[in-house]
Amino acid sequence: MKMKTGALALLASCAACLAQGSGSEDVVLRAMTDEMARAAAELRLEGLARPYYIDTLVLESDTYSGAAVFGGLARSRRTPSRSQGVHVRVGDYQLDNTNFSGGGGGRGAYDVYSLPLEDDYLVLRRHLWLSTDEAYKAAVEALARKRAALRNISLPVVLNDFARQDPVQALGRRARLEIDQKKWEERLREWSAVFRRYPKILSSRVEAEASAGTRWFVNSEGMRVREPEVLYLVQAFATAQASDGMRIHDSVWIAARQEAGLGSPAEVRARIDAMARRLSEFVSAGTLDTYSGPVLFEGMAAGQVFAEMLGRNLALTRKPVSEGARGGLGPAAGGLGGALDGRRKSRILPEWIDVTDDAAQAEWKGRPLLGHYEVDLEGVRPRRVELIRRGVLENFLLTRLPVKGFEGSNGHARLPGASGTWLAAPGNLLVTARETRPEAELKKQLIEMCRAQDREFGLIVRKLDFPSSASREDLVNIFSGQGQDERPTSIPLAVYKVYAADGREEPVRGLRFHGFSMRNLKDIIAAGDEPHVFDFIDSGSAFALMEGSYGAETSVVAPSVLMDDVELKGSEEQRPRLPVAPHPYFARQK
Amino acid sequence: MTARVVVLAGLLWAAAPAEEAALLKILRQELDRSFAILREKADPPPYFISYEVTDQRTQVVSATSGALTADSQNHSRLLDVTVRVGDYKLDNYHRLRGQSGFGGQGSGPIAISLDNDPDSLQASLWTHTDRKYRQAAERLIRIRTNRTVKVEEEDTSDDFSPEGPITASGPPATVDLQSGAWTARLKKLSAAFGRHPQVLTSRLALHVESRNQHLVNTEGASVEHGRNYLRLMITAQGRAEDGMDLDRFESFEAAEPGEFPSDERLLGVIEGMAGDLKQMRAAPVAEPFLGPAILSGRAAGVFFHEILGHRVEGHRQKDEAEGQTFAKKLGEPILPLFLSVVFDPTRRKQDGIELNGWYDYDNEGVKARPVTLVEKGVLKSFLMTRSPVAAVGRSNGHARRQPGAEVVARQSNLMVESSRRVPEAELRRMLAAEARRQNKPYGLYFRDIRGGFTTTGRGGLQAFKVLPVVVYRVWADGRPDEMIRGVDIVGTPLAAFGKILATSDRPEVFNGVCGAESGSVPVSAVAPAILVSEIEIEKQRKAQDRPPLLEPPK
Repeated sequence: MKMKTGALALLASCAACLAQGSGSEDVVLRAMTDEMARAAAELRLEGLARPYYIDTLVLESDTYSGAAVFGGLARSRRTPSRSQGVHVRVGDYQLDNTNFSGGGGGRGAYDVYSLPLEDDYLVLRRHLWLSTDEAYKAAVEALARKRAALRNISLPVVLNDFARQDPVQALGRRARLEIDQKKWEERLREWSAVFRRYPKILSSRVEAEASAGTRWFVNSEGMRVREPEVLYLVQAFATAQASDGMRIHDSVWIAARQEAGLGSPAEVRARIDAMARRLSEFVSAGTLDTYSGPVLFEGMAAGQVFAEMLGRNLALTRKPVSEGARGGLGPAAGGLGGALDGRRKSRILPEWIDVTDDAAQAEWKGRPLLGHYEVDLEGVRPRRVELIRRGVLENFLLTRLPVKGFEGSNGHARLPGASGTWLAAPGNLLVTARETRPEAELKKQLIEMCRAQDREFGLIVRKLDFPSSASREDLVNIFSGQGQDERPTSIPLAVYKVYAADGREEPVRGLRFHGFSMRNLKDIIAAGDEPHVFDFIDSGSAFALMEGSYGAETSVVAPSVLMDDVELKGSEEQRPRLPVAPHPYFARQK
Repeated sequence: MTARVVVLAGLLWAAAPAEEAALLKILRQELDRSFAILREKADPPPYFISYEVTDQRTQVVSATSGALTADSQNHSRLLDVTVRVGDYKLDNYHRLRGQSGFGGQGSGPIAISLDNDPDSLQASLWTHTDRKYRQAAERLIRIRTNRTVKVEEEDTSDDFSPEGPITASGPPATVDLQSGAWTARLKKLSAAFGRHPQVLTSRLALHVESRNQHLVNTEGASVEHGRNYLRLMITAQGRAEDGMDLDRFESFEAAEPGEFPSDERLLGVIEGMAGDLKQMRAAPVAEPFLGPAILSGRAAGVFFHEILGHRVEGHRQKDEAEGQTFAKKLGEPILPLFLSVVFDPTRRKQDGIELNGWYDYDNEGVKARPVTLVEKGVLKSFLMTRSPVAAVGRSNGHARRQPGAEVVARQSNLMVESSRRVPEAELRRMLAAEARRQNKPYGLYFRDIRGGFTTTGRGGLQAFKVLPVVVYRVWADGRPDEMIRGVDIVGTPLAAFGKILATSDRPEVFNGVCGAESGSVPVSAVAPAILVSEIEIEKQRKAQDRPPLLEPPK
């Protein structure tokens, strides 16, 4: 099922906004509600349980996707689509068919996943009818197998399978894509032509996506949600190769809920230009074998660190019941998340830092927050959650799936999980330091520490490669270069030596974090007073790589932080040969 | 199908040839530059480089039950770069023993500029030539090591056969599609399924594509050619009471939109498909059976494609990981002596029906030509690319691939010719007689198939499966034919061939898409109905679900 979670930053925050279209005919909503009512009342296999819960999700989107390389347009297409998904639960809130690894989905026998693009009531209902039928049968079978599996296991802790939730009515507007395709083609050509001024850059490309649509969510408890889903995205990627063969890369990533939010075309071009200039600078930078000492994570880099380190660890995992002998609690299969399981009340950060998630917040100091949304994927409104108070872990991000110590959603179901459940992920992660120093003072403090420790230099990291923008070839190298027992950590992209003697900065390339994990957060010794907003799309994979099209738009607001005792070492990845022939365009310029 | 005379199938004189030549010039300029520098400075140096650009303009329109489900268009240009290091005798494409395929030399599709912008295009060409060169150089080193370590190979033919410089060009293929008219038409036609409750889901889809290829190589080849693919597909699904999924599929191919059947004819096809589903619901499930059968022309085409076609693809004859069923059988009979098989990529139509598998030049720029594969039962050749095998040293224009994959020998239009032809009524009589002779109560008639698959690797089963959709029992005692469901045909190739007794006198066309190592390529099979003395069927995997529990919404 394709999905991008929605947000409503465009409308003034209004809880149950009955915007235009809801009073008048919303054929999709009517078809969903009517078929849901019929299924809830009548659907059953004789002698077997009827559904105690049904939900239906319909996602409509009209997406423009474009790309250009070195001044030439490579792609420009617009694709409308509409898809649906139905979840059925049989059993009851204590024990149902979900959260079971032997469950599987429906057979997918019926070709009904994609819905008609038009508002044809009967055809929509037919598709939902077959989808619901399949989901119900799969649920009945899964529950039977789960009950059989449970006879052979004793679970250390017995948790309910589903938390109750009061229904919400949140009917927002439907969004339509307005796009001037020709204009976008021109912009893409122009933006990608920026790289014609940077001979040190081996390859580059610019991509843009504009998507507008609507997400409907209806369930048998009375939940009715209609949310606009709008996202504009511009990305630029560039790769360069140093004379020792090391490949380096960088990117630009800009997202907004309105076209104007991206900035003017000239502003976008300026950002791409700045990235190209910095990457060219780093090509000639020196390397460093090893470093162990203080590091200043400045601006965006701090947000990235918190996003990657805390991010999805703020959701408690719950292992699904499996058909083998082992079941119960523990890190979910797949490896990501779960680092904070069982650590409630332990210290994660210094006692002068708090972390809160507040997805209901639409903007921060006048700047729109990408991670804002009205209702999550289960239709629950996000609550403000004080996750870390005075450095101590107090709460987690929750969905309707009960986890150890917590039952009841706080509105953070944002990514698809296994076995009919949703994964919790942050919306707007707000990192607040109660003690701060002026931004400029942080660098001074770094220098002082270096002098005190008799170091020639300290390091400033201004950007990490999170989400990763590496090419497939480079990613393979990066992954293989990581330690076997380490969780993958994004690589630092923009690192600078700061000399203790005179405060002079010098770029360094090819460093990798070593043993960098959540434990390092306790080594934060100072924070700046100008928090920075870092937006990204979380995918649930390592390095936030977008494998499919699932994404949870997220914002992290965090101050720059000075961290003591960070270890880095020089990359040991394979270094491909340098190209034998010079670049055709730049060879001609000479 | 309404009779239409089409002067030049697949081409419309719309865009100026000058635009196409411009692209070729840009490719040629960078090719020559890269090659010259690499020859001089790279170690090992390349001895051959080629660039092929596949320019595709596609449109998809589909509808179900009177509502539109898809309406989009796309224009893409994909680049394939081939770099060869070493020499014609031994290069980086040599098989690495202990490893099947080309060891990851494919790259996935590379999208390049749609504009004929030399700077953008050449930057992309350069990036990918560099990457391919590095892969090629590394692989050659491994091959050289591999050869000294392993046992002497059986087939010591060269790795690349020579071809002279070829130049070809023509106006690009284009299609003028009135998409508005088609959305209305598909919506109207798709609504016709609504009268039939046994049809649970259905769809009409129109895929229209203009595909133009541009190829240059360092031997001086400069080839531009293209064609259109227009395909109208109708699918319908139902489900039997015992949970078995039932489906029907029909497709129509055309060189331009006006060639498609009329609404009246299509409505007739839709009624027929719905009627089949109704009959299939009521039909008994087949039991495993060994006995005589007739495969309709379409079913026979798939049969030959799977059993014969995949086993005569040139590269398989040299690959010691392959079964090599026919590798040593050149000059020997492999089919009954009344059958011949020709692969003819130059044939564009059969009895007015557009063939999927035609092309003017293959993906190595070699001119397409008919290949007599089997003559009066005797194996004469293989389908060849520029990778020679011991018995056949030159390409015969069957190097094909989906953009992003490496070429291998693939089928084109498979045409089965028979000198033992009888009218269909006579073939049916022969079937009943054969059943009686074998003391079987019935023979089988396979009217339509969905497709098939086969495994050719040495480690695998060496079998094939053809997936029938509409099957009947033909009773030896003359009572009316009885439809059955849930059947798969199984067998092993050599055994199956010996059992063909006779054919009908009317060829039918099966148009499809074949998937194999080099990706999906469009193909066709043209064959008359065949009578086989022995075919084996087994039960299809059946789903356990029931039909939908609730009535359809009203």
